[in-house]
Amino acid sequence: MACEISVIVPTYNRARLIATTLESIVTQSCTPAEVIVVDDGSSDDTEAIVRAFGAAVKYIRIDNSGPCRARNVGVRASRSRYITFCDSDDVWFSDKLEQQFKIFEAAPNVKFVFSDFRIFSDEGYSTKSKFESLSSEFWRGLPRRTLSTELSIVEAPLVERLLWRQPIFPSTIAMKRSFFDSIGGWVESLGRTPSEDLEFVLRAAAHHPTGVVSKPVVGIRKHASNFSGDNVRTTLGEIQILQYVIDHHAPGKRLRPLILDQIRRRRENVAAASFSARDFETMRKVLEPAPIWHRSCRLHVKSVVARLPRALRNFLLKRMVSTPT
Amino acid sequence: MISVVLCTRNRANHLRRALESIGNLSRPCDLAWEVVVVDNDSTDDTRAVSELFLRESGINVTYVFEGRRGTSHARNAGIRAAQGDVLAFVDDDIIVDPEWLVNIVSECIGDGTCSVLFGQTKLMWADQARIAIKEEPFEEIYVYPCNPAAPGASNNMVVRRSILESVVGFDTSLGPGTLLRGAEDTDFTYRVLRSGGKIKYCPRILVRHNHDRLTRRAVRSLLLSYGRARGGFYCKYVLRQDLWAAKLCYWEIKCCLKRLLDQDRRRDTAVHLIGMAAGFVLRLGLEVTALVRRRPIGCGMDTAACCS
Repeated sequence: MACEISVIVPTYNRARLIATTLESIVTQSCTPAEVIVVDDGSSDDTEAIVRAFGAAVKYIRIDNSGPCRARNVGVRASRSRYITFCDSDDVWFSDKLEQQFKIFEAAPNVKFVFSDFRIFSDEGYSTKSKFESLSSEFWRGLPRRTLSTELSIVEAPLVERLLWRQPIFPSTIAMKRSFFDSIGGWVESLGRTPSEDLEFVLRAAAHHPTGVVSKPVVGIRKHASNFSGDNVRTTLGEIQILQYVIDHHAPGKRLRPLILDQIRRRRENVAAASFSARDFETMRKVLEPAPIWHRSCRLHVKSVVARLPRALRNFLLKRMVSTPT
Repeated sequence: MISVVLCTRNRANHLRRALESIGNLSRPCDLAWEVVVVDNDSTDDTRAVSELFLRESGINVTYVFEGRRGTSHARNAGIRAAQGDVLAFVDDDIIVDPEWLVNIVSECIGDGTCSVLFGQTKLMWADQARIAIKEEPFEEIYVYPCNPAAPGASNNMVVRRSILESVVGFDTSLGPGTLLRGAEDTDFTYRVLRSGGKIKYCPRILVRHNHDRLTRRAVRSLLLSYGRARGGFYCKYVLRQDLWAAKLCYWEIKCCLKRLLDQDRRRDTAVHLIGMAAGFVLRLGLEVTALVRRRPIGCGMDTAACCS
C-alpha cells in the first residue's frame, strides 16, 4: 500500500541515530510518497548514512539555522497533498502512517492528525503511553466522533487544553499541506528556542476538526543531550514561546488570560527550582518582567533573599536552611 | 453576503494553492459567501482547477472568463459577476489565513463607516524578497489627503458594494497586463479617498504572499514595473491638474533622491526612479494618442466617473 504523504525529517549531527529512524519510516506498512531529510548543517557523517538509503530518501543540506527552518525547507521541497514530520532521533511503529492516513481518507475535512506515543531511552520503553499518563480531564467535554476503537475526530479546537497539558509532539503530527500553508508554517526566528514546537502546535490547534490516533504508534527518545533534557531551560523556552504567542497570535478574550496565567505559573516554577538550586541569577531574571502581585508569599520571601548581598545571603541560608545535597 | 473575488492568469498551480487555503477557512456562521474566480484569458488548466475545487470543497464557486487582458478588466468582470454586498479581492499568489473571512465579517459588522478595508500581507516564507508586503501590527485609518499607496495593496482588499456607486470599478488603462503594469489599486484607493471615503487597515485580516521572485533580477524587474506603474498613476492625475497628486509625486521623487545616498538601497531606488520616468513618459504618450484619436483611454466600467 502507498499513500500520498511526504515525510520531513530535520536533522543535526545525529549520524548515530538517524539510520534507525529512517529504517522505521521506509518500512512502514503504508509506504510514503517521499521521505525528505533536511540536514541542518551537520558536521558528522549524516550525509553518507542518509545516502545509503538510495532513492527512497531525498537528502537536502542547508546551513545550520535551527529545526524550524529545516522543516520549512522540507515542506517546500515536498509535493504531496499531506505532510508529516519525524525528528531524527524518534522512531515510528510500523502502522503509524496507515492509521493516520485512514483518518484523512475517512474524513477529508480533517486538518491535522496527532497520535499517542511512548517515551523510550537506551534502557527501553516506558510502561505507560502518553495518553495513559494524561489525566482523563484532558478529554472531558470534547465533542468527539469515533471512527474505530483507535481512531477518532475531535470537532472543537484543542488550544485551551494544550496550554495545560501538551501531548502533541512534532513526530506525531500529520497534516494537510494546504493547512500548513494556511497557518503559515514554522516560525523560523524561534528555531533556537527550546520547545519551539509549542508555538506551531498552538497555532494549528486553534482550528478543527482534528484527528486522533489513540494508540501509541511513535517512540519519542529521551536523552541527556535532548532539548527537553534540562527542565529549567525547557520551561524558560516555554515562557518565551507563550510570550511570543501573546504578541503575535492576537489571542482572543478567552485565551489571553489563560496564556498569561500559564506564563505566571511557569515563572513561579522556574523561580522555585532555581532558588533551590541556588541559581539566583536565573531567578532574578525570570521574576523581573513579572508583575509583583503575581507572586505568592513564599516567592516574595525568596525573591527578597535573592536580592540580598551575597555574604549576608550565604550567612542566612547557612544558618536557617539546611543546604540541599 | 460576501464575495471573494480572485483574478488569475496562467498560474493554475498557484491558483490551486490559493483555492485550497480558501477551502481551509473557518466559516462565519449564518452568513452566505461565494468565491468568484475570474480567468483572465488563461491558456492553461485554470478552468479545470476551479471546477475541481468546486466539486471537492462544496463551496459556492462561480467561474468567469474575461477575454480582455489586464487585472482591471478581470476585477471589473468580478464585480459584475459577484452577488455580495461586500467584495473581498485577492490575487492568485496568496494564501489566506484560516481566520481571514471571520475577521472580515466582524470588521464589516463592527464599523460601518469605512468603505474600503485593507488587510495585512506577510511573506509566506522568511527568505523571500520583501516586496509587496505590509506588516504593521496596528490598525490605521486613512482619509483624504494622504498617500493612496499607504493603506495596502489589492491582493488583500475588501470593498463595500455601496462605494462602487460613486467610484466605479478599476481603471483599465492601469494594472498588471497593461502597458503601465500596475497601480490599479493605488488609483482605485485614490478615487475612493477623493470621493470622501474612509479607508481602514486591519492587521487581523491576514494573507501570506507566496511570490516566486527568487533571483535579484526578477525582483528588480518587478520593482521596475512598480515604478512604471507609479509614474503612470502620477501622470494621469497631474495632467488632470490634481494638485495633491503632483505634491505626492514631488515628495516621492525627493524621497527617492535622498535614498540614492544610502549605499544599500541605491540600486533598487535607481530602478524605481527609472521605472517612474518611463511610466510618466508612456502615460503621456497614451494621453496624446487618445487626444489625437478622440477616444478616451481605458477606464473603469463607467468612463465618465473615473476620469473626472
